[in-house]
This record gives sequence, C-alpha cells and structure tokens, in this order.
Amino acid sequence: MTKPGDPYAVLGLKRGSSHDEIRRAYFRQVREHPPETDPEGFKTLRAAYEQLRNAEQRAETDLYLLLAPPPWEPPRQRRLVHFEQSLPRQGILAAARAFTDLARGDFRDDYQAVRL
Amino acid sequence: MLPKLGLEYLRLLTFFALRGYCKSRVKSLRASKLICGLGCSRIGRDTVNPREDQVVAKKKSRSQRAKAKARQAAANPLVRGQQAFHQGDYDVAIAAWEQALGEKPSAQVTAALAEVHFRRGLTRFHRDGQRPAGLSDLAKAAKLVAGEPRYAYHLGLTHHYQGNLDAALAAYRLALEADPSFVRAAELAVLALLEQGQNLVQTAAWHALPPDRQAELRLLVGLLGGRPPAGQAGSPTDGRARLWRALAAFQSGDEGVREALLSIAQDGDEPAAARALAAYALGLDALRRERQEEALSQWEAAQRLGLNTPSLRGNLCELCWARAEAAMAAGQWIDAASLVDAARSLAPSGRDLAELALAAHWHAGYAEAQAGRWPQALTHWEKTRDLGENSRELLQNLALAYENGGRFGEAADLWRQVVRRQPRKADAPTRQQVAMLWGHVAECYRRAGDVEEAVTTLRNAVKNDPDNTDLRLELADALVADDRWDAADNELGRILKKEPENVGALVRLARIAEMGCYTRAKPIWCKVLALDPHYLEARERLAELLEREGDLLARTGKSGEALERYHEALTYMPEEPYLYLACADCYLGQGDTETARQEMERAFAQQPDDLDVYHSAVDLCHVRDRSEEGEWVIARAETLAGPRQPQGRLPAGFYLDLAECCFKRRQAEIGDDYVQRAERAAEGDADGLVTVGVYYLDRDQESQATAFFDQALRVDPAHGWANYHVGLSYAVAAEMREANRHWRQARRAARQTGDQELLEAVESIRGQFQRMITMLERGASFEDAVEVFDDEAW
Repeated sequence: MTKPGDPYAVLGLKRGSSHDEIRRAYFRQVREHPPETDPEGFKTLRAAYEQLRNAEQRAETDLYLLLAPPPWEPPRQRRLVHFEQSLPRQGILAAARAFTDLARGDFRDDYQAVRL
Repeated sequence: MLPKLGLEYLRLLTFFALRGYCKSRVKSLRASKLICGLGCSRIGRDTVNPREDQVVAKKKSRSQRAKAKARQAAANPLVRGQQAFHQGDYDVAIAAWEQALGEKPSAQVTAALAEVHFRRGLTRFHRDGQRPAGLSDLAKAAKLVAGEPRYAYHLGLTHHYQGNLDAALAAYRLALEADPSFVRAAELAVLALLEQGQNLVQTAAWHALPPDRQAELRLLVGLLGGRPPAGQAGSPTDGRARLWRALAAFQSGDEGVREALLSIAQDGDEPAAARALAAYALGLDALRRERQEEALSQWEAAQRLGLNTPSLRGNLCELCWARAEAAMAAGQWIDAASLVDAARSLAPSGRDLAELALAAHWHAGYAEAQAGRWPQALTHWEKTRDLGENSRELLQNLALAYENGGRFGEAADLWRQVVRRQPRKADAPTRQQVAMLWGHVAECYRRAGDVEEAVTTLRNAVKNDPDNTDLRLELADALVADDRWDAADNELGRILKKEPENVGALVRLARIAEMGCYTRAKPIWCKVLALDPHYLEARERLAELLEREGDLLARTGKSGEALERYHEALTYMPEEPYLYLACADCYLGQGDTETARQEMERAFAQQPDDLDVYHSAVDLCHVRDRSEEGEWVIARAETLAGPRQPQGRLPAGFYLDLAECCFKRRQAEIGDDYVQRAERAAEGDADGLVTVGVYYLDRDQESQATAFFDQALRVDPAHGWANYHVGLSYAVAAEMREANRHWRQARRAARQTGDQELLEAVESIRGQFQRMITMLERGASFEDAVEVFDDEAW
C-alpha cells in the first residue's frame, strides 16, 4: 500500500542518499526526538526509517513517492509591465449617470392628478 | 389492575377510558372559550338571542345597500376606471377608460388614459422588471398627449437606460420643445450627446441648462477628453461637483487631492459608481508612488463597487501577474498560485500567463502535499492538469492525492497510466517493480469496489512477475471476490504445483472446497495443520467439519460412530464445551448416564460461567426425556454458575428460557415448573421481576404482568423499565397524570444508565398517546385515532 509523505524529507535526506547516510540521518534525528520526550516525532522517524532501511523496501517506497515538479526559472527577458494611467471614460460616464434620473427607480413625484 | 387484554381488547378499553378523559378536557376548554375554534360545529347553538338578531338584520341591510351601489358603479366605465385608478389597479382603469373613450371621445378621458399608461409604464419598467411592456406604456402615453413634456422625458429616460441613445435624444428634444425650461431633460440630453461623443455647445439642450450646470459639465467634458479643465464649478457640498473637481485636480497631477478622493471613496452616501471611480483614481495615485499593495487594494475596492472597465481589469491583471512572479521567485508557491489565478480571471487569454499558472499550481500542490495538506494539493494539481500538464510525475502525484482522499477509482485509473508511462531507458523500473505497481493498481480497484478491473490488473502484475506468489494469491482472492471459483481454484493449483506446501494457497483452496463439498476440504485442512500445527482457522474448521459429520451420524442412530467424530473434533478444539455436550447426548442415548454426566462436567469446566452451556445441557436431557438428569444439570448450574451471577444466583431469565423450550416441545408441566422457579428467582430482584412481567406480557397475561411490574417498583422505585410498564398500565386506564409521572421517572433512569432503548420506548409511547388524545379532542373517530398506535410497539 502507498505510504503518503516523503520518508527522505522526514529524515532530511535527498532521494539518492546512500544506506549509510540514511542510517546516520536516522540516529541523528532520534537524538533530537527521543521516544521519551517526543513519542509522536519518534514514531514518524521510525516509520520513515522502516521504509528505507532495506533495499527491497526502499525500492518499493521509491515507487510511490511524491515526485517533484521541474524547477521553475523566471523568464530570461523581463516582461514589460504596462498600466493604463488615464481615468476610464466608461467609469466617468457611469458616475455621471449615477447623479441623474438614470439612477432613480421611483418617479411618483412626476405623477399628476386625473380630473374627469 | 388491568383486565386480560389482547391488542384489540386493549384498544377497546383505551377508547372507553380515553373518551372519559377527553370529555373532561373538552369541558375545561369550553369553560375557557377555547372550544370556539375547536368544535363549535359539533356543539351547536342551544338558544337564540333577540338582540343579536337585530344586529344581524342591520348588517344585512347595510350590505345590501353597498352591493346596489357597487352594481351601479360597475355599469359606468368612467367611475369604474376612477375607482381602479385610485386603488392603483392600472389594468382595470385602462380597460374601463378605453371603453369610455370608445363610447364617447373626450380630451379629459384621453388625458386620464395617458396618465394611467404613464404610471403603469413607470411601474412596469422600474419596479416590476417588465421593461418592454413599460416602454410600450410610456410610448402610448406620449402618443396620446403629444405635448406633455413629462411623458416625452420619461420615454427618453427609458431609452437612455437601455442604451438606445438616438431614441432617447429624440424624446428629450420633444420634451424640451414642449417645455424649453425643462432642465432635467436638457441635462440628460447633454449626457446622451457626451456618451455619443458629440459637440455640445451649439445644441438647444446645452443652452437650456443654467450656467452653473454648464460649468460643471465643462469639467466632465474635460475629464472625458483627458484635458485638465480650468476653473471650479458647483457648490462644495454637491457630490457631483466634488467628484469632478477632485478628478480634475488628480488629472492635473495635484497630489493634495488624495484626501478629497479618499473621502468620496469612503462616503457611503455617494453613488457606488462615483465611489468606484474615486477608488480607481486612488489606485493610480498609489501606483505613481510605487505602492503596489495599496493600488491593488483600491482597485479591488473599485471592482467591488461595480467598476468593470477594461482598464481596471487590465491594471489589476498586470499587478497580480507581477506580484505572482515575485512570489514565485521567492518560492512562495501557494501565494503565487492564488495571484496568478486572480490575474487569469481578469485576462484569461495569454500563453505566458497560462504557463506561469501551470508552474505555480504544480509547485503549490507539491508544497501542500509535503505539508500533509492533501485536499489542497489535489486542487492545485487538478488545475495543473487542466492547464495542459500531463507528465508522469504529475499523474503519480495526482494518484497519490486521490488515494489519500479515499477516491480509489480515480487513483486506480491514474496509477494505470503511470505504469504504462514508466521511462523505458536507464531509469526504467524492473519487471518486478512494474508487477508491484500493477498490484497497487489492483488494490486501488479492489478498494473502489471494482473487482473485475482488480482481476484484470492483477493478471498484468502476474504476467510481469510470474514467480511472485503473493501476487498470485492476491489474484486468487480477487477471483473469489468476483465469484470466479474455478479460475481461483486453477490459480491456486498453479501455486501449489510450484510450492506444494504453501500454507496461504492451501488455506484458500480449503475455503473454496468447503463451498462445494466439505469432505474435499477436510484433507486440505489436515495438510495445513500438518504444516502449521498452530493454525487456528484449520483447527476450528476441522473440528466443525467433524462435528457436522458426528451430528449426521447421531441423527441416524449411529451414536458410536458419532462419538468417534466428536472425540476426534475434540483433539482439534479441546476447549469447545458443545463438543462435550454432543458426546454427553450420545451417552445419554446409549443409557450410559454416568459417562454422560462426566462429559457434561467437562463441558461446564470449560466455561463455568456461561449459562448457555447449562441451558443446552438441560435441554438435551429433556429432549431425551431424562428430567432427573435435567435436575442434576440445574443443580450443577446453581452450584457452579449461580454464585458467579450478578445476583448471586441463577437469574429468572434462565428458567424462563428453559420453560419456553419445554412449552415448544409440549412439555407443559415441566415448563410451568420452570416458570414458578423463575418467579422464585426473581423475588427481591427488580430486574428479575421485570423479566417475569415481560414474560407474562408477551403471553397477553396483563394482570400477572402488572403485578410483577408493581413488585419491581416496590423493590426499586427508580427502576426504568418497571416505571415504563407501570406508566403504560396507567395510560391504558386513562390515568394520564400517573402515566406521565412514571414515564418521566423511566426517562430519568434511562438517561442515568444510558439505556437508549428505554429512552426511545418512553418517547415513542408518550408520543403515541398524546397524538391519540389530540385526535380525539379534534373530533376524530376512535378507529382513526387508535391507528396512531404502532402494533409493533405493543
């Protein structure tokens, strides 16, 4: 079954690390998160180490690892940023309309009496 | 307390009892006059009041006069129209006056008709959202009275509102021709001309405006032309003038105008369009001062206030884009993804922006997944895929994310693509790894419930790694799950051909064999036990198979052979008490009481507390008509198990269960004896007394039942089920006050002990009685009212 999460990241290692590097990283981390004071942290470390400690298990783990996206590089040519500096004609006219009868909905003042 | 009752009899009793109860309730309601709304029609009137009759006669006369008047008015369309007009019923008024006009043309009626069309037009256009109908009414009003400037003006206004500037201008001109001093018409005509980009100065509309309005409009013309106008116009308190002046100052580069713009943008009394424009200008001002955050905030505010011009969208897009690039350069992928999404929502086209969005979401998803936030990661990667990314790496990550969210079907489909797209050269996985991946695909399909696909993918796995026994076993399991027994059998056969001692394969084969013929399974289970003597399932299955064989033999009178099977079964499961009882049964059948007792003692020794074992033992004695042996078993049960029970003796229920079995076998005398023992066992024990009460209730012996419930209450007044049953007996006798008191106590007890069943029973029975009473009070027949009772609950 898949074990989501990256055991290499948990142990602070790169993907291609050697067996010795994995072992050393594990014991270094255990010193920082001993089971007596940080049982949860230790459990995570142990689980990560279990996934990498033997070659067969590690090969299986590697199959189900999260894969990193290709590195992003900013465009070589700097993009020319252009801002429109003038006031929008459409906005000015909308504001002008907002001060007139065009913004009203009630015209009962304009009603006149009917005489028959 | 209760007579003998079945359900029907109980219903009948309930009817008579509750009828009395309801009568008393109705009396009190009548006294408080509440009855008027409930049942006057049934009660009827007994006396006639003369004073009341006079009042009724007067009312009748008034009503007749009003009706006559209304008939007269209805005959005259002018009056009818006027009445409708005053009531705001314009449809009726128009119809009436059109009729009147048809009968006799009149300028007054024409004017009235125009006014009502005018009013209906305005209402329809502005309030009811019926724009075309409103416009048509206004056109009709303007046509009926061509010289009325109000009608022409409003017709123009509605055209203007809909963007039909030529028609609006034509109508405004008509209004101005009819009344050259009509400033509102002149102002809107000038605005329409401005919107059309026309020159204003030589127009009649312009000349109709007062000088201060002209000055103000000059500011507006300057703003639209992008030329900072000179001079000031309007009083400082006029919002319109304030805005134009501030914007003109802003266009002239006056930095001091910032405060004025800010006060307009934040003034809730100003129109939203004006506030939006001020906010937009403030954004430009912030940009000039290189304050991108502030510019973004102002432009977003302008957008919220309804400004939606291409320049605003473009500027916001540029700003978000630039900030997204900066966030990406800083490795702030999640922020970058959100900013680039905002930029794309403003200007979705553009390849560069799409590529940036793809990279931002790809990285943001990876960052989220590494932090364990899988749902967020999934959202980002789905966007990445939608933007065109289809790499194996993305598919694998997406599969992991789906799997993490429990969406196994989608995960399986993606894993399948991942396996098919593995790199082919140096980094290519081994065939064993490919098989492992196919196995994983199958596992996802299995968890998604798609067994057929699981089988297909496991076949792929096996093809890649034919020597992998675990994969073959998984394939066999998948085939079994898909009901393909023969195929599973074959697959297991292949494993066993290579590894004849593979316990996993043998166990699966034995299970399959048991489905068809259990005798075929027996040697397979024996082989499993030979390979692994501690394999519990094999021991259990063998013991059960032998017991089944023994039972068949015992039934056909071959007790000697049956005993052999039971004893063999006991070699596999020596701790199984029922195997000893089966042996005891055989010995009893053979008349060997002594050995039978020894076997029973062995059974009791295995589980001395388990009353079911003693029950089975007593039962088998009675089946063999060996009551004295049954007594011996009961004596052993009282000695061995009695002191270990919560009450320190065998419970009433134990004897009642035995009694029930005896009654079923028509051993009534023995059964009655056990019932008496149960009653004795229940003495002083509330639980036991309730058990006996329920036993009688199940047999429709209500009075005995109630006696035991009453006894239980005397032992423990707070006993939940005792209170429930006693409450029920009171309810049936229509003593609802007492019933409710006991049910309240039962509910308290249920809450204290966490007895959910009791709590539900109390709520249900209370509800049923309450509904029945309500229905009877409202005049429902007893037959209908009693239907509220749930037969099951009784």
